Amino acid sequence: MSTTSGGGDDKRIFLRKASGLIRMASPFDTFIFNIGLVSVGLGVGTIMFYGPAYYAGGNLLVACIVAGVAMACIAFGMITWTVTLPRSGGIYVFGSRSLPPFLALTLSLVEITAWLFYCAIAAYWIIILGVGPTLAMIGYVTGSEWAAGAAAGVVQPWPMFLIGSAILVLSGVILAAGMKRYLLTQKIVFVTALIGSLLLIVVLLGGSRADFMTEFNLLMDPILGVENAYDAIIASAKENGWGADGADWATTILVSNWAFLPLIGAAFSIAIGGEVKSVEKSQTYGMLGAIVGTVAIWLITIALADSVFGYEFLGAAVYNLLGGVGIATPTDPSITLMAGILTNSWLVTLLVSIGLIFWMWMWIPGMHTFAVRALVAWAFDRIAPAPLGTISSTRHTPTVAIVVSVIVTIVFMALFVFTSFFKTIIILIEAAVLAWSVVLLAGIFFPYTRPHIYEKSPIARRTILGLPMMTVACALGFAASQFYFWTLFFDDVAAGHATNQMLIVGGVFAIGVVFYFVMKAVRRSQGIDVTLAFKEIPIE
Amino acid sequence: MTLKNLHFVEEALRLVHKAEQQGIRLRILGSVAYRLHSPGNLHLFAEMERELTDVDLAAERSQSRAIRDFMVKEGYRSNEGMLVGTEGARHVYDHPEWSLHVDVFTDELNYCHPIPFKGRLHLDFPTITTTDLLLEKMQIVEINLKDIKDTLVLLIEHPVGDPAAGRESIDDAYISAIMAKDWGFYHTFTTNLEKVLGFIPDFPAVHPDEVKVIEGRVTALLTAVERAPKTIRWKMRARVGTRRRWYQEVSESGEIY
Repeated sequence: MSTTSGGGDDKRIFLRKASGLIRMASPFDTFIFNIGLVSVGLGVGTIMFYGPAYYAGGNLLVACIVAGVAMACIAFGMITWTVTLPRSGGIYVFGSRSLPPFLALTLSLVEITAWLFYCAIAAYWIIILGVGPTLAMIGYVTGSEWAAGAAAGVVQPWPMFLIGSAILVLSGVILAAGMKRYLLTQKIVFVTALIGSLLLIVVLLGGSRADFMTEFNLLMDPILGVENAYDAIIASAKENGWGADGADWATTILVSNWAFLPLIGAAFSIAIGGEVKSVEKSQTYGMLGAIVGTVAIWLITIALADSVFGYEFLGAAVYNLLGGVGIATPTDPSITLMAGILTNSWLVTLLVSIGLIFWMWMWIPGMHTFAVRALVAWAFDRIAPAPLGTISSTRHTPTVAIVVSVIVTIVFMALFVFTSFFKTIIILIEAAVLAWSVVLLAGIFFPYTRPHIYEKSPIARRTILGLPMMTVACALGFAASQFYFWTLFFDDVAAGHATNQMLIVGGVFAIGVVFYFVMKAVRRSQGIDVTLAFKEIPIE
Repeated sequence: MTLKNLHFVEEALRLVHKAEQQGIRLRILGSVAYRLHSPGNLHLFAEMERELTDVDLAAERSQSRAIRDFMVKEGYRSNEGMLVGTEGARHVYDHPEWSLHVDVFTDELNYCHPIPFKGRLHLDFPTITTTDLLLEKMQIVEINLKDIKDTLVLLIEHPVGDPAAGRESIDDAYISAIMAKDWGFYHTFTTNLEKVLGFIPDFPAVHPDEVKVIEGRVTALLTAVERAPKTIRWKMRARVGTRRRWYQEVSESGEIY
């Protein structure tokens, strides 16, 4: 079958060597996939929640820009990788053609462990930060006892586990229905989530500090049993050690971790590299577009939230609540809650909250997809059991890999809900950043170590300062990823380096190495040399 | 002159017949199907040096699993990455000994413009219908010489809109109905048909009488397509014209995993 596309005049004809291929994800799909994995609403929520409280004095706007520039450098490196090796499977594809096989598999395992962990966190947050506060706010505004009771009920361990597991299973069901259906649902969810974010901006544009203080005091004075609750919360936080002493570069860099963490999602389309149409255009537009779009929304929202709610108030309210000191609001003082109080409208609260919930949801099937693609790629290279690569006879999707991914996330969900230790293992993000960093480092040398592959890349002839584009892009990406690896390492709030947590990360790396050598031995006993798969030239 | 890979025809027929016996509906498309459907003009393929490059088959997606098992049993190696990546829309098989590449397209041929197969495979045997064969070539935006050669032979041997010719006839009503709904396909189809006419002088092997036949059939097709009442969507899209891409982009062949 011969097919390719393009335009032509009356007697123009074309030479084609082989059958063409229709890939599923358009540039817009790629953009939505990435911006969904950034989770714009969750990002702004966490920056506003943790930023003023734990990084008093840090400039949130500058932090977002710094994180955006760094992530753009990482994305640039990843774009050159995925354009050169346009296959699905995440960093496994890149590592398997540039690094020792055991290391490639280990980095991939570390990466998907981290993403599945955060996938489960997203389901957990949907309940903790989305459903619970929304019901609570509706309870406050409408006086509904049912809503207030439900708010308290959904955050109990078993309801939380069951709802969270149902969310994770739903994600698996959507993925099992096929990529086309998944991409369609993502579009619908994206539009809804974006409406929520834009509504928040409109609400903030229409409000003022005086309006907010009046509404807040009216609602919270009787609940907290104080006069002028807004000022009382700030005063009590200061008495208990919270302070904003003006802008500080070090603090600004540290608080930028909270912007950087969600922005990592902007490069997740490397997972579906083989399914993306016009790979260079789609990946560039998809990754850089997600970064620019996200940072733009963040800057507008943060500037308006600062103006309406007040930096001091936001910091003090969270500081008191999480520290268990001073005067604290009865529920998390999230930006959603504040918007609800500002408008005194259950409808606005609901719509903004649905937006936030939908942003968080977009993490879940996206991260499941990432893991599924890696598992399938492993199976095809025979370094994982073959059933991981099998497809269902009805929907033709990799059902086994999907089920495995969902089960792993449900186990993580159980660990969050029923233990206290695993809620703190946010350090896994450092492991994932380190894994990306190693692959970006390998990318610097790839044009020289595997020239026979690189010369077939569409970017092979492009140079920057006389060096191959991939070398420069990956060097920038490596520098940016190292910068944030160490920034996260020294930030105990965002990640840190507590010994017990470092042991867990080390354990994940060790599992990866052991897994590789076990699979290698198993395959050898079957007469298969798995290292041959790593010597394949994957580009056409 | 002897063409290379003529044994592909035998293999395609063997696969289709054997599959049919097992309840698997496969139909041949592509260059092999053109040869099978134009037995009276095989000399033209030779004179125009129309080589066979691969075997293409159409199938029903609901039989994906059975098709895969069948092909593997026949000694073919399945490209599992393609199967997973396209979610069963396309199967790719290679015969390790014969250098034979087999593509199986399920439910539709989805390239520049989609050609539906679902519910149409029973209309002909062992190939897809002559109508779908023509659409298969005319949906290609970057049409090449091989496609033009195939189309010329098809049009010499098959009447347009002639119920008396049975399954040998090209169904102009069916084609017109598709074109009336999709301006993009209409544009590619009509542009390519005119291009086919423009290339006739490049093939002296085509006899002057045959040229007249081709011209008459192309005119009949174009007339039928133009006469068919168009949808509102078609008319609105026509206003935009080629300022916006009117076809689906097709990547060069590659792997997904």
